Amino acid sequence: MSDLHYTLFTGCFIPARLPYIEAATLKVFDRLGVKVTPLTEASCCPDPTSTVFADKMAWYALAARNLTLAEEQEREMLTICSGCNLTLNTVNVELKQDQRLKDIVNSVLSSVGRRYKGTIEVRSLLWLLYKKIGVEQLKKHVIRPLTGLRFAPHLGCHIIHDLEAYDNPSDPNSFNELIKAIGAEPIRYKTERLCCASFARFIDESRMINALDEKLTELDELDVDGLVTICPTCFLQYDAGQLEANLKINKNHNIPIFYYTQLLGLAMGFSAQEMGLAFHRVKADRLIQKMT
Amino acid sequence: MATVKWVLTFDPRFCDGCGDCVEACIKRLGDLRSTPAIKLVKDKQGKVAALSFCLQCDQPFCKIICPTGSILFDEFSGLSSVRSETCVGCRSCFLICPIEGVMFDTISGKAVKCDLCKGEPKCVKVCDRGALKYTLAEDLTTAKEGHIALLISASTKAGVLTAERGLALSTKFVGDALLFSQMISSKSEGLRKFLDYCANNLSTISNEASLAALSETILKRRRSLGLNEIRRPKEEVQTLLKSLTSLKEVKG
Repeated sequence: MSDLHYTLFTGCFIPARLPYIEAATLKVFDRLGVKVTPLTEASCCPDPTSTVFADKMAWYALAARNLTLAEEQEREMLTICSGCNLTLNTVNVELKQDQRLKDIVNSVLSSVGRRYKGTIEVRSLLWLLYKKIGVEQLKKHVIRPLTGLRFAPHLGCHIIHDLEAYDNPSDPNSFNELIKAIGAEPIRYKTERLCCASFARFIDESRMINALDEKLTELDELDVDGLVTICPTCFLQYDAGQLEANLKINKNHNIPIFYYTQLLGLAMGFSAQEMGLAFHRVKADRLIQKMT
Repeated sequence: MATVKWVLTFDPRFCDGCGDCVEACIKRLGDLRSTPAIKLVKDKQGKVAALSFCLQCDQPFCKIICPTGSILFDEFSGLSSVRSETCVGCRSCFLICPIEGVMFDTISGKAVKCDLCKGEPKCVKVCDRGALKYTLAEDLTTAKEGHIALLISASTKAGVLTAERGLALSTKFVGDALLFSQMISSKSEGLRKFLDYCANNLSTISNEASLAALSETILKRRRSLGLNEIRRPKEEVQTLLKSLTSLKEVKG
């Protein structure tokens, strides 16, 4: 596994708002033998929703700039945020295929002395764990399986495009397999594919709250130990957003939200503190109790 | 630019509220019942005042937001439709549409929207009072533009419909569009806010090179977690975006 060395793209939300998830993920990577070199001069990926609506060319240019940083390191780029993956992967693929677009982007990049070449690949966290390392290999690192714990998987929208290379986007199974690998049970539920609706806040807040409430209500009934995701936007939306929804529509949802690497870390023997569970808005006390 | 010639029109003056159009829409795929892609909008007296359906935007936001590329847009006809094979039912399209033009089918778990039945709208066939019509846009001359203007201005402000499209639509709805336009304007106000939010995000990136500025508190927390120092390339990002703006000015 000597080739597990990547240029790490952390994005905006993880390093600034969820640094404990970054710290937990790096601990897990280290244990798995994944070496990462972080980018110190990266900008926002930029955001695949708002930037595309605001100025699509700016989206291409800024993403291409970030890609040139990884090209300089001559390593594949690893993203740990689904939004970053959607942006960087899509732009990378489009620029490789569209010479005209590449020329325009390069003429913009020349203003900052950069040139996009198209020499690297952009990888996702899900790809790394499921496809590259593999479930069997992951299991070897599990020393404290989360047996008896039931989690609702929430893949999120922005990773769907990435699934085509190793899973069925219409009925994905890779994430469920990762949950099984740590000894836990992934449950299937009706609103599994429902979007976290974070972008809808500005369009119609009540629709956003309803979308949150619909999923959380179903999960309440299913009595799960938590919702597990691999997207920081979805994480924030269900964690902090859950409290907001409770307040606004007078509900009592209490579903702890986890980033997959946190649960993987727990199964590897890291403590709840090392995995940053204390920073969660919806406290994970029940899970911690069950594990001790 | 799309070149739409045929439009669906609804005149509530001729509507008796029988609901046959909605029933026809439910059965539009044959035996398979589906969530209707049209919805009756009733006034306080319970009388049908408008019919809500996809306006076939020139710049469909549903298409931009869809994470699976499942909203297909035909440049020639200007029609957009859902490719249900790849739709995963995340409902992003439903959440972003200002006029509830996209619905969610709870049976199939997928998005549904009006695609004018590929040129032969079933709802029109069953409307024996002639409230619903499928007709050539240029043949329409009796549009109540005052009412329509409200509807159009609310939508164009949010950038959903182009000016040309707005003009075409002014001939699309006849009758009491007031209620419908009110319904739309409240939603498109939200959409305008969303677009403002998008523009703000881009200027935040321009100023901070990031969506989440790195305050001293954040940097301190990062240090306490043993994480690396981050520098945001603010100047380089600004130079790059300025270069892009001047490139656009040259082209424009």
